[in-house]
Amino acid sequence: MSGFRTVAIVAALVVAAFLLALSDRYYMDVFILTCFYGALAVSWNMMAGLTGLMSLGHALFVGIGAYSVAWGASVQGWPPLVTWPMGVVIAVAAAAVMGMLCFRYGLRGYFFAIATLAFNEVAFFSVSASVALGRSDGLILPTSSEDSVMMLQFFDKWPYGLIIGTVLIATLAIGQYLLTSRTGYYWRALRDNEEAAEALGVNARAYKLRCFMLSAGISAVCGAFYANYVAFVDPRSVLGIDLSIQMLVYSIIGGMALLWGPLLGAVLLVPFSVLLRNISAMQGSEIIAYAVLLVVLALILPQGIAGWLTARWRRRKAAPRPEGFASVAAAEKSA
Amino acid sequence: MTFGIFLQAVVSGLANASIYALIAVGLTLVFGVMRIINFAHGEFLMIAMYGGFFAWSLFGVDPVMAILIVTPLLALLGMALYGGIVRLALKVPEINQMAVTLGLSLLLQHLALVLFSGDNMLVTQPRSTAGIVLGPVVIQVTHLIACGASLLLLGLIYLILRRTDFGLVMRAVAQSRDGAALSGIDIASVYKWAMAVGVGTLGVTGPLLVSILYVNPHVGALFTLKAFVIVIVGGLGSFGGVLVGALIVGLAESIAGAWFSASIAAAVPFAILILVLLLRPEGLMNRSLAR
Amino acid sequence: MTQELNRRRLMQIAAAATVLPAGFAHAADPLKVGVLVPMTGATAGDGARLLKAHELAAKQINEAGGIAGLGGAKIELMVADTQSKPEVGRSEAERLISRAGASVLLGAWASAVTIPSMQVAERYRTPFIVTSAVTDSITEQKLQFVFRVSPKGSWAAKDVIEFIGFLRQKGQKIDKVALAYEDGPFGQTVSKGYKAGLPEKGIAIVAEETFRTGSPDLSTQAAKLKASGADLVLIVCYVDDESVLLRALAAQQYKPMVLGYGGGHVHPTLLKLGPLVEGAFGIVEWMEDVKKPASETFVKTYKEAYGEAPLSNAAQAYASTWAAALAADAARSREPLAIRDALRKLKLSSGPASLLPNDALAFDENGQNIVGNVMSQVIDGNFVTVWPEAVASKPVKFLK
Repeated sequence: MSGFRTVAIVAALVVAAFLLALSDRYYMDVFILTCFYGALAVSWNMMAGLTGLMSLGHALFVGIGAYSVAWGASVQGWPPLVTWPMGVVIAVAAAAVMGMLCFRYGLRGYFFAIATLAFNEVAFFSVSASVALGRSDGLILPTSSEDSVMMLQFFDKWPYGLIIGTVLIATLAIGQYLLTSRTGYYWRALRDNEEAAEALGVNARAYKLRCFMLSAGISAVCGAFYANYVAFVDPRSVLGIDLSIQMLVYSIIGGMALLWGPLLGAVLLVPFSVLLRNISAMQGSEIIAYAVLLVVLALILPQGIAGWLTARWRRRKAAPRPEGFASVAAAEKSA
Repeated sequence: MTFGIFLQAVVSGLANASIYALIAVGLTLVFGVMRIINFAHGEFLMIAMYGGFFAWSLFGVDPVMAILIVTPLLALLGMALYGGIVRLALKVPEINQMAVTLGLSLLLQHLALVLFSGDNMLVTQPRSTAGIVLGPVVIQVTHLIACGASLLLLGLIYLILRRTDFGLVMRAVAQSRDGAALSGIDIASVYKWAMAVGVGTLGVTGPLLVSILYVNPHVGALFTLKAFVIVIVGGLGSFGGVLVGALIVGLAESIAGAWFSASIAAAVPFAILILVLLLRPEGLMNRSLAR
Repeated sequence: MTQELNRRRLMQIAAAATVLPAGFAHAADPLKVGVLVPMTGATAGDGARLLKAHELAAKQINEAGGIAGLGGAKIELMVADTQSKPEVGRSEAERLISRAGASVLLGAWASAVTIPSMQVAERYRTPFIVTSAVTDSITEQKLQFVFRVSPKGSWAAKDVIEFIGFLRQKGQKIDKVALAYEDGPFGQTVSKGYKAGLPEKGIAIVAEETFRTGSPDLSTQAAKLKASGADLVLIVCYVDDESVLLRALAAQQYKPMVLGYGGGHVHPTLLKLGPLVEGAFGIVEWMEDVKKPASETFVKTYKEAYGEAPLSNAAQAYASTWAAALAADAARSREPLAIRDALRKLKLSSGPASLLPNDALAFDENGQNIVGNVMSQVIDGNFVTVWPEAVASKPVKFLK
């Protein structure tokens, strides 16, 4: 299955979901949240699943995007046309600095993860202490009863759905483009064996840095969107470690070897938790169910649901072969 | 800031450091032997704190005595954790291991919420408010007890690792899993015991900490990140590193807190972590418990 | 006066309900009221208590025959868990209004969750009654559908200043005041009000100490407070850190007057500290011994229903539920817009909703209920209201 065809199918499904959600504001809200977390998880997984760089501090970039928009709107009165690019530029620059430091000193695996987490925490506490950024109280974006395209303020939800749906599809398209390009092959080579890749002449630092910056930029776009959509940002919601963990969870459950795996995770889990909230009366039962699912899936389906599905798909195509012939690892190749 | 206040900040930093060391030592032990980071470490601390609280509130057991009950229970929990989950987690990639322990942490927090409600529970004894005056500084008695216990426990673990066959086997596995397996060591059993000791140490920490602080379902999470910072600053898997890391984090936080706002002080350990990772990624004390 | 009429109408319906066949009284569709509370996360315990008060009010309204203006319609609470997260609160507010058809929303405990949730309500033109969030800006944005039962956080400064004046009159020496607060959303908001308000009235703040939740050792902060020589320490934090701070102060053998802010300072957990909190003051929106008939009835029924005493935020939740029902009653409509208009005109000087310590529950043009705080003191191991004198149940007790 060619990667671009997969992306086209996924994009078509996103559009279909958007059209279905047009019928009902609440469905649209679920659609928007799913796209938001989906795009974030896909961008996170470009690093983790495709290049082997596990970040636990991705909320930092979401926070930069969100705070750029919120600060711009509430303090300066700047429109998103200015603040979105501003957020992206700052996030990409921050990723460049962090990346240069971490890669120069060869941080990998857990160490890279914890380093990103540490950067995130420094930002979290600094914002909590910063009067200009509203400290722990956060910033409220000015809202008016009039719709304003300039300020991305709409009563209807579909414009927000349109924006974040576009962000999601663009993220997938960019990802797929890079994966089929030389860059993508280098990324996967770095993930699978950094030493070997370097021996073959791949400039590991430069390619890892590029991946980090791209991923940070996409996360910042999502953060900027969040600020306009929710119209309120505070350190806990856009800079908290919970957000980074959510990206990890969606990716693991969806499947990290595939570009669209994390999106599948978000598609399954975001409505799942909404549904559980609706039907359950016991406090915390939603999170308990969620946690059990996470533990079990992370243990029994290391390739995630997407990896498992593609492995089955392959097996079915290769029907005459004996059971178990198609290895789960084959799923990776389809990415 | 006067010199007296500075001294007080140092003493307070030492008190915090000893508590942090008590929490971090189990984390680093498990990592050293099994190379797995347990994000649910704080939740086991929370369970131990509830253990200490209920021993006191239901049976009137002094938290210091409760250690004798809670520690074996936590060690058993550690074994169960190994048998039920970690054993399987060792077979999946690093990132999945993180997801497993993160999921476990969420699960334990919310089970505790269902069982014990979200309210804070306090241990109140005459000594909770007592302080010992040493010139310009005051040290609270409960903190002093925790300091003592911390030193004792760290000393004990050091001796076990250095002087017993059990410790030798543990170090052998930490140094080379395959080598140890080849020489006939039962790796699974070593892992099980490492988990028992790693989680069991929290059985000492929990009752002491609950008599200083309070307990609610989310209290453990406050310490997990800090424990990570400490073990990495000190050197993951390094035993002496825990002490060094805890001292640095405890003191830096406390002294920064005396000058700046608490939010800034809270960022300091992470800033130190970044510096250490960049300048000496293997941690300050790179002598892992293998050597 | 409307309130009086409403009560009478409720009574009539209650009488009617007993003679009419049950099916008839139930014929009307219920008034759907959305309740946003945290049931998971760090503030789950508070959420559970708020919910109890909401449910008690609903039960009373329904047992008294429902809402007369709506033909005896019952009130139906639709509860949603915000998980103490802004985006979840927001999306649940969305669901309650657009899916579940709520006519009015109540909630949502913390300011960080309340703000995005109430903005949803504003966009949907559905009234949102804020129960307990204290961030000033909530009622400073000229929103048309937001009402708040709780006072603004910064108003505490005004009450504290008056109370200090009152204590001075009684011969207490209060020259230096120090501030100790949790460096998070709650502590920062309230302390900002103190820092702005107190110096204006010539009360100097001689020390300002902060800490973050979960700090096991606060002895440096305690030592600095002691060194400042403050006569009164204003504390703003949750009950958990409060116990750690008070123990640290005691270990320093420093016994200033302390005045804590908010529900955390009249929390039963605090009394477990025994002699340590004896004499401590708390500034809080409501106390169970507030001398008002509505308050006394509420406490009695709450205790009967749940076997525990209600806390200040429970009173706010209770009042907000009644306000919603009475507004729908006055509007004779389930339409959010009509209920909003009725809420604006509401003036409840008696009846269950009047249990808070002001003359009448009423919302100004910004939707703000003009309500002050009361001062509590721990006397003989109990929380007692000691100020303002109009609602106080005991006089202030001086330790020195």
